Amino acid sequence: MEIRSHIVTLTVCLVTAAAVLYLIRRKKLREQYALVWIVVCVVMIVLASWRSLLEWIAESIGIYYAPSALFLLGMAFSVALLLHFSVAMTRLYRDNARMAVRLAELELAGNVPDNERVADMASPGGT
Amino acid sequence: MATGNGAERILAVVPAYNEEASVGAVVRELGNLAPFLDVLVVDDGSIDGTAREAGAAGATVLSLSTNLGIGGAMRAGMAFALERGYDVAVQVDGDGQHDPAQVHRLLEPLRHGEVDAVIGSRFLGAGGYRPPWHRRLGTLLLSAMVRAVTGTEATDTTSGFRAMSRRAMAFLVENYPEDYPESESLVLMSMAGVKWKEVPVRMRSRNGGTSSISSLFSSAYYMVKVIFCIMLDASGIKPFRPAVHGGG
Repeated sequence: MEIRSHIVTLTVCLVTAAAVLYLIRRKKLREQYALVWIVVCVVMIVLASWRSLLEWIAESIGIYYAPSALFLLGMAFSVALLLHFSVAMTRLYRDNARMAVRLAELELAGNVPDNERVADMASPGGT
Repeated sequence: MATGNGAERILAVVPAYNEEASVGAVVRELGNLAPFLDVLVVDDGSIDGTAREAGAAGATVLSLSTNLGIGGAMRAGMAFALERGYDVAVQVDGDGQHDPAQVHRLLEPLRHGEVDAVIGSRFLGAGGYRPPWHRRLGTLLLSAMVRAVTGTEATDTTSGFRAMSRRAMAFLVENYPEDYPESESLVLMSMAGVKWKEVPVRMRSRNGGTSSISSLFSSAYYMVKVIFCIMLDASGIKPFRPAVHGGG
């Protein structure tokens, strides 16, 4: 039973890692975020494979069944990451809002560039 | 000092983030090299008087609405240079670390058509500025890695003091890495056949402002990230848009 839960964890981590690499390939994921996910996967794989370490951690937290500690850690990582991204998205929303209004004001005043080529070239993802 | 031949148009791109203490001096020093180069300051969403100081010193200022980082700021600068028909763009940091008097050393190899990009290295030849040991360690490791992957001599892979031809600019503007792009762009250029080489230059220690990579911990994190990115490029997992011949 324990081996099965370890295999499940390993599979989930490998699938996640593969998905991350695929998203990088399709240029849909920035490398800095990819790194965080890969690190999480590696840590999870280590914990899933190194039974005595996991058992020691489980004991310290007061959890009887070691694989539960694995899932708990996985959830804790996920929550922390989601929180981080929520904060990042808040900042991006505000930047975007400020820019939208600024752009509108500039257009109103007639201050627009002749073309959008500079902006197109400089924006991530290319043209 | 080298002077440009009449037809060649050079743009000095000065990325600056909260560098009001030093950007004015950098612009003025570059102004001494006029008329053969123009100066563009890319104000990377500064919250201090960087844009004001740069404008007062006589530079054209591109003020980004938000902080994009050095990757985004240089992309904007290169796009500007390409669109306005410049033949060469030279990156000169707004913190005063790069010496405008050394710009001609970067331009030499470009003039002869040997390469598309020239990197100014602090560690090639005499130098004059040696950063603290923990930063040096990282640079050495990175240089070794870039050398191994590209087969080209690399000693100062984090140097932003570089000159680029239109061909290099056109390639980089499509492929510039977003975070800590200096080292990764060397690998990308080599893989795409955009030729580059290093030349020795003297740099100065920072005038005003604070270093953005200040502690050992963030240096280590930076290293890991850059190495990860280089491995993604070298392995072919992360693709890049190929370079064109003329540069458009």
